[in-house]
Amino acid sequence: MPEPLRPSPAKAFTRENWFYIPTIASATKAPTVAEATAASALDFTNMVFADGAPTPEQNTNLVDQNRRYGDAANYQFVGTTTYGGNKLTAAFNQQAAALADAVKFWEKFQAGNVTGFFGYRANVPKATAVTAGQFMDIFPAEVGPLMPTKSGDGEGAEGAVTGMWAITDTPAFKIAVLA
Amino acid sequence: MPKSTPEPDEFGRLRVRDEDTGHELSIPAAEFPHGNYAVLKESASDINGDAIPPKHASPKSLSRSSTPNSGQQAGTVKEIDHA
Repeated sequence: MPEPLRPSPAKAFTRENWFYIPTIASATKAPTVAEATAASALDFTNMVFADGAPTPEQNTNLVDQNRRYGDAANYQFVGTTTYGGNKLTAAFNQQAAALADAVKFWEKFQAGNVTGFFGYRANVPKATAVTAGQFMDIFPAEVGPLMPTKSGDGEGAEGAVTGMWAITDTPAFKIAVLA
Repeated sequence: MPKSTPEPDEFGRLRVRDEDTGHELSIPAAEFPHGNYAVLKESASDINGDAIPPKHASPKSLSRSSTPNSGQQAGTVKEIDHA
């Protein structure tokens, strides 16, 4: 028997980016390079903390079928799938001047209920430019109100802002970035 | 980088054109300095206070010329499906 297939590992450590993209023209949710790299977009990979990055979740219900009177065995259906956002925590400096890097995330989302798309690019070193043909996962997103807080404890504490984000529509996975 | 933030509508939004993509969209006023935006004289919110959906420029027309679409041109271009 031949050796079973073993895909080589695709390193993800420091090879992940999270982008905020305000709007995407394509109905398939494929962003263009211009949309993903516009001044209005934001690569917040190095703004969010490791425990405060978007961690989208998917939960699919398994439901028991309605057992027939004579059945001795019962089976399941696949039910509702819920996509969920999570908590965001990003670096923040209360004293930073307007437009400074330390308040970018805050100024972008502070209004609350800011909508757009979160793009997740993985297995590419994080400083690599977005190019056509790269793949991303796209999550239609709404970011709730942010509140300043702290990240870390004691000597390691840092200024931060925190808020929740929701997935508001069908995500598009492994979708190619358009030219 | 754009200058001072213009006056938002009563729901705190501005209708802008993103000069990098040509798309017209409604943004919260605080977002204005964080993009290459040009303010449009259009309402950003509907009567219910919801943001008016974005109007997307054609990516093709953008790649042909480096100058962004005028608002009128962008208005006539249908949303493109890259399926």
